[in-house]
Amino acid sequence: MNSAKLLLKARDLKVHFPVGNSWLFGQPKQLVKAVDGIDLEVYQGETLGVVGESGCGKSTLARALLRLIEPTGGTLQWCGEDMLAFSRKQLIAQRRNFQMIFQDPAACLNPRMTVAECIAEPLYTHEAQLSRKEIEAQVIQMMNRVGLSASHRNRYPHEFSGGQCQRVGIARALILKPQLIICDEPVSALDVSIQAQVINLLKDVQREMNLALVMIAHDLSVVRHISDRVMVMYLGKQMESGTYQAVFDQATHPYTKALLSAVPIADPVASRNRKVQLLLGDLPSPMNPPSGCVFRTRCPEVSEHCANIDPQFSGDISHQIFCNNVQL
Amino acid sequence: MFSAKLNEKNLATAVSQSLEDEVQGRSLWQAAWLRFKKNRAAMTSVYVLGFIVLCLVFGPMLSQFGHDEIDWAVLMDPYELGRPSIASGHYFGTDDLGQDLFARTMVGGRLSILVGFMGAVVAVIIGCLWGSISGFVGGTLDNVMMRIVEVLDSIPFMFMVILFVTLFGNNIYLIFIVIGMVSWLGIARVVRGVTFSLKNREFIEAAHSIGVSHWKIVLRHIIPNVLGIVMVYASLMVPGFIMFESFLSFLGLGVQPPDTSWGVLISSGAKTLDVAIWQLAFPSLFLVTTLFCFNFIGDGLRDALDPKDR
Repeated sequence: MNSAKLLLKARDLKVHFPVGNSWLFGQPKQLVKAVDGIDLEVYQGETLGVVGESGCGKSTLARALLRLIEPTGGTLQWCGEDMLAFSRKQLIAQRRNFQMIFQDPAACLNPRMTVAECIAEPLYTHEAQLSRKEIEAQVIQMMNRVGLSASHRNRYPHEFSGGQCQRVGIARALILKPQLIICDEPVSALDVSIQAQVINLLKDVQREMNLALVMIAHDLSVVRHISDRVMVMYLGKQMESGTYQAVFDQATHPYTKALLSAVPIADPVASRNRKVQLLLGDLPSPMNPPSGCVFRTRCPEVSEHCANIDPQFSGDISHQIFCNNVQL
Repeated sequence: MFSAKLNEKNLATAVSQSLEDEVQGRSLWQAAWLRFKKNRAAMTSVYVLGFIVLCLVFGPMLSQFGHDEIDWAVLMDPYELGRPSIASGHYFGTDDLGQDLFARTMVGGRLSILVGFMGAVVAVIIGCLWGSISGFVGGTLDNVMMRIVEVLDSIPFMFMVILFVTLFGNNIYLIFIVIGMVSWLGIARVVRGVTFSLKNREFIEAAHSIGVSHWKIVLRHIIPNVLGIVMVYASLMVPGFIMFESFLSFLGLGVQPPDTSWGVLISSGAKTLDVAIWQLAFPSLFLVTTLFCFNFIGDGLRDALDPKDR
């Protein structure tokens, strides 16, 4: 793992959104801490899975990593260069190296453009010197690669199913041969049989192109299927991260254990006999997160000092957790 | 690995291979057009409007009289001799001055329709650009641009017209300028609102993530998607402009004789309503028919372009 090239590195990444209209009434502005101090690295050719429940800041993290939302704190490096220092022009030029796949396959395509135009848009933008013939040929090859019939290229997105639209989205992300693709819940809008196809397609192209993937999902079985390393998020913070084996087989953090125990098992006997560890209560408001450890309000292993001190880091590069009570 | 795979394939074979079983998609515009064609009222309106426009273009050629030509024979008693008749050549009769009403209705209609179209075209072009830039950029620029719209909107229409007429004299181009100045305000607001909702859609975000420049995003992604709503809005605005021109001319601020428009004709026809009903009837008939047609077409467009229908 460590021999591969380091592509993306984030340190203490923060995205805080100001809310409330303080301009008129002079109320103190409140901050929504959507992403609050995330560290991560993405190496060439590997898959990093990011899991967490709805509203924990996964999608914001994805956008912040690509500077689609400006991070409000921390550092972000692309291939060793400070990404936050890129000028607008540099950033646009660099965008060809990192692409994104979106959650809603139909909504991420312009309804007034044919799928060929959608797929070719990155080429128009970054390879303006190509002739129409060359662009068309590349589009056709890419459509064949992602399993779409090239004869359908003059159709419009509304004439495709969700799975086909997601393939168009993947083709669009791949056509510039990027080094990193960030997938923001790429399969959560698809039904299960299509999910597997899309995931396998992503795995195949990853192997072919030596592509790095950041796979954001709330579905653990998807992450388990594709990830090399996993990060578990809760309320904008990192709970546990490490290699796929470490996180899934030796889950240590109480939150990860609760998440894993809630994964459905396709075996009625086994699922009836196991103990599901339900988390009580709701996700606290990110505007007003609990003091100390953000998970303490729902943690089954909470102790009184959790409210006062920040969770302690323990572990090494292959497995790390942030918790006051459990140590690696 | 992958790039090698891409290059080894021959361009020509790749293209020709896929051309065999080409499937042509149906764009949203084409689908909307098909729905529009099924709308009987709207299609009838299109044909009627087309017929009216043909009349306006070629009608004056059929008339034996020019629109500013006075028939001295009729002038002795315009309410008797100026009745509509085929024999005298005054198909729609004459006005008080013995001018042929058929020719005047046709020539006047040109101006009325032109004002309507010009207003709509100016409104669409300026309104689309103004509204989409304002909505897309947001923040301070949006505030400034929208305040400009509000300031322009708050200046009384009539006041501007009277001011212009006093300053520059009575001139037909003034009508175009005034209509041009105010017509785009409404559209700019509508477009800004739609842009606001569009700019958070995923396909706009996808364009950002690809690295498409802001200007291209506005032109390629935002404007084509607001155009449907804009077309409906514009087609419903055309009658408004025609009415506005008629209103100005009715007040004597619009076209000056011998030029004419439907508003002028209706205005003078209204004065002789009791003795020469035809002077009011024919221009009104054309005006009302045209307004109805535009409204039906606007309704048809709205139904056809309504995205919820999809």
